[in-house]
Amino acid sequence: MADIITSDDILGKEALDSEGDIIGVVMKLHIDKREKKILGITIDQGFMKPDLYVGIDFIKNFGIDTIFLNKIPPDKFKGCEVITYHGDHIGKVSDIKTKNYDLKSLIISRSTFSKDNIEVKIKYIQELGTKVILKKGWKANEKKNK
Amino acid sequence: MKIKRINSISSDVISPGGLKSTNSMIGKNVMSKSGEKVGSIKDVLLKDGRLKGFIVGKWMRKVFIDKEFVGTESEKSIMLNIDPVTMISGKLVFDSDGQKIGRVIDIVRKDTTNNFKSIIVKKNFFSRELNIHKNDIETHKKNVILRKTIEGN
Repeated sequence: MADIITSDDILGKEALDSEGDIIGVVMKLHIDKREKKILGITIDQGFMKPDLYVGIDFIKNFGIDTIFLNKIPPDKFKGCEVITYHGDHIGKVSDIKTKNYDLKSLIISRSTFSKDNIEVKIKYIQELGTKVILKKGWKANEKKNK
Repeated sequence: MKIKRINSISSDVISPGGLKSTNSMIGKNVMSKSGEKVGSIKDVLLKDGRLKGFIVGKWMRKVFIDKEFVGTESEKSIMLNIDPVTMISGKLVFDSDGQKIGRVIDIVRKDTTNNFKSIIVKKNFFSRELNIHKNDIETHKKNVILRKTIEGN
């Protein structure tokens, strides 16, 4: 019985990714009514970001005060500032491209009203943290991709 | 600030235009390796007439960062090649059971390098301080997650 928890122990708790970043608050449980299994959770990421669905395979454990995820959801990087290797501002992540939940590339919007988007492949990204930092010389490579 | 049209009295500097003014460094944003803002340059320090490092400040906190930790530099900012250990301070701490232990209130450092021995964690004003060794920390990138459970916190 000690390992059994209820929905009250999950809903309303903060969800943390593998780096310890607070993604948001768990607001829904998804249950397969035929198989009678929990499929995943929906995380409320706040006013500015859309809700995030996380499958049960990406949940590391249901903790006392928090829910630990075993990876960083790629959607988390939407809205992140993108800077060059030297620290110059490029734009913001407007969209992401994934393959089997793994990040493949980022779509970067240079300004809010601009349609001038750039696609940057994961191999040109040096750091995915508070900001997205591109590798040295990414621009030359991007031109080749076009 | 660009230095232009100044006569030079020097054995090796013909025109000071190619040199960098320390004034131009003041106010530049300093960012950690992971892109987090450490602060902005408040002062530039010299040792024996040569650049030694910078005083970087954010709110009331100030930290000296040696020039050896400067990775790259642009017009507006400086990127470090480290995540300064001082940035762990104030982060939330969770144990392996997902229990919120408190916040990092202090860092016990080995010396002045970018290493630390342990962190001091406190939940609130009345709770006791916990000294958590570095080896018990799984990650401290965004918040601190421990490898062990903390009983009776």
